[in-house]
Amino acid sequence: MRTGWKSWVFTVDHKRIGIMYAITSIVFLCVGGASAGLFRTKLLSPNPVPWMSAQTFNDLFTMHGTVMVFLWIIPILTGAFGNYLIPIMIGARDMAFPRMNALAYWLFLLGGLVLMSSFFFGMPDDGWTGYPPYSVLAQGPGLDLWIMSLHILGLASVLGGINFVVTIITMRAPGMTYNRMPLFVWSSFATAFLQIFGTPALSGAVTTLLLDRHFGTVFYNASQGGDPMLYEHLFWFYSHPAVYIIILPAMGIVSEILPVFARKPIFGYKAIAYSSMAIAFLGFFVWAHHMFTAGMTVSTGIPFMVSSMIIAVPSSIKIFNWLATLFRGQVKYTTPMLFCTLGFIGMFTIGGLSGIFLAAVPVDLDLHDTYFVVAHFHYVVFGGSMMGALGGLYYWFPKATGKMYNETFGKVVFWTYFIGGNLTFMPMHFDGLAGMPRRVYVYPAALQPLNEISTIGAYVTGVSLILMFINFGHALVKGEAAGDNPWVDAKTLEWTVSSPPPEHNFEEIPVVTDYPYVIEPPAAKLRQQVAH
Amino acid sequence: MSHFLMQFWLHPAITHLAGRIDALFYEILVITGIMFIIVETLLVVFVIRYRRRSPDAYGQPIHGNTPLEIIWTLVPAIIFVWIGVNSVQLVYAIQTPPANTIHVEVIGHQWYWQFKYPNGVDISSNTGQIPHFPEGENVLFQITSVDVIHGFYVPRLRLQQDAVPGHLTQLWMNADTLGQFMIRCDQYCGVAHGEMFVPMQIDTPTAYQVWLNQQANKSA
Repeated sequence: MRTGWKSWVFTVDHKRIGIMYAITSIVFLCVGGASAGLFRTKLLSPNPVPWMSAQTFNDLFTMHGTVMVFLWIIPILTGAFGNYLIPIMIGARDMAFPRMNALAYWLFLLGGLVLMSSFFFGMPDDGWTGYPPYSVLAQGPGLDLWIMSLHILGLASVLGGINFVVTIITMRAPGMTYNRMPLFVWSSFATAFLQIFGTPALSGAVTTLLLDRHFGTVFYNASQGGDPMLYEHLFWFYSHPAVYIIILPAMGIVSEILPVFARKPIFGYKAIAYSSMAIAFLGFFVWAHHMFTAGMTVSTGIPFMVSSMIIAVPSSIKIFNWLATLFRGQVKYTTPMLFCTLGFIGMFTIGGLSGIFLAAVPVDLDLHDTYFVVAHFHYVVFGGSMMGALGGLYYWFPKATGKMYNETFGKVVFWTYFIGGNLTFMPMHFDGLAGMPRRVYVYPAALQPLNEISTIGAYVTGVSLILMFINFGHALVKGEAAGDNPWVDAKTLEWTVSSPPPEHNFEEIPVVTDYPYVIEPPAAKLRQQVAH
Repeated sequence: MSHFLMQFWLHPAITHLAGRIDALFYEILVITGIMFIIVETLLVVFVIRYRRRSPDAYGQPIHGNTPLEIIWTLVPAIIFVWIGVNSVQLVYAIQTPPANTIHVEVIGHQWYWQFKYPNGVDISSNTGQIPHFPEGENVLFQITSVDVIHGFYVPRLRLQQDAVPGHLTQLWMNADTLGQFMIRCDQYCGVAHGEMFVPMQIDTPTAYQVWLNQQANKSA
């Protein structure tokens, strides 16, 4: 295999691009996490503090949200896992458009660096949502950098989405019918459509913002006939589907990992596969549930309330299917399995159910834009998406590096992350019920104990990530060879080749005869062969 | 102790409507609470019950069960949609103000609230003034903004509406409790967003009238 920096910079190999996405997005995770650590430290006190101004606080939560959504969780799930796994899982040698794939990565890096530059030139300060007129009136380069960054990242995301769709449709190995595709591929397929059809709305939203800021247009200037609500519609027409861009691949990862360590076929393959497509489709009909209080007639929320209730169904189907996969299994609690069971199922369930409160218009009129919402979406993204992403990192690390990590240490990482996450986000539900709005620099003194718990939780989470880096770093240097298939029962195609896989994945394109969830004892297979 | 804990929960509602919103909240809490207990219990039970004890053991080769899957698709679907449909009446109750309301214009500014009463009284929270409203009478807030989007949120009413430039949003109340209740901005609006709050004072109708006349005389 080629080495040296040129072999990475000029690579069009989907695996190397995937690894570059992973490393880059993990660096951004550290930036987003550090931002959160700083403003959580401020929130130890309900009052202003001398060492952090309200302006800096606002800058930091804006950077935290933008970085975590656009530079960490979307790229790690679609860019890193999607690129690395999709071609090899469907038995292809690379993506359909390898050079476009490389272009998407470099655009992603560029978009990320543009946003990072705002740490030096002045940060945007209007939250990751960037609502006008505030974002039009806001002075300084911060918001312009934010807009430019989102444009570049959006382009990267659309290119990636197109590439995934074409690859999955045209490059499947012989015998790899749609109903034999690994569930991660199914979930990425659904995600790719969301990327392609959702992102243009975001680009339109931020373009009009830019025009309003610098070219004298009045899209969002109410005094001249514009309407700030137009932006909210455009923004959420992308950003609600983006929630499913964020959660679907993680659900795919869970669906891959559960059967392997439960030593049992996945329960209800088709239900899981098709519910991903259902989520992707329905995902375009719920955006206005972010806007129940935004100035629509309150009853306009009713159809969106009902569609939001309906979209909870495919998610609950998945939860039940996963539980049924554990039922009568022989479950081994490896690190990735802990992330998927207690981690993903345990915490995503909380985030999903708290969403039911917010989907009901009358209750949302109370809880909207309070910390209850912050708690809700962190249970979904932190307890769901990121739990899946970290589980996935632990699951495919031996494949991508050829090295095995220390399993006990991995479990310590899981428990630290799990406890830290719950300490951070569980109290926020109660902040919200008590009426604490989000994005506030000062808050009622009575809520200080809850905020202290959240901040301690944030520190514990930070420690868990540092431990994870040590765990992986140690494995890279001292880890034992992983072998082709360290998990024994993993049946997707990446486990049939060496670790790390050869440059073009397969010497010979494999012929697929069954879906990858026929997990049974080696003896049973032998008996069958003898009987035949 | 319980008083200490109640700080971290919904503070008592001050209108009948807010009470109805709380009732819906508790209804959803019970339903989602049951689902939460079912899922988490199954998870923990399965995690313990089906852990691998022998390295060679394999699970049962169960690929699915169509009737079961239909049940756990339909049951949540019916429950969730029922929650939605069940909320519709309340949505209209919130949306439709009763007749005979006192119209108060609420204007969001960076970073204070301005209240304009029908008789011309004009209260701005940046001057340390507090708006007063009568107990037991219908008050309709008509909300807008002159600069950026703000959020007019009164936790004790369980209601909020954004203050959007160029739009007039509204919410109404009929308060049944005397005292001061916080109005908070909950739509991010810039550097002092967190400090954009002011209590509203609920007075008896007579006290309210006295206050209103005083204010009118002050400005005259």
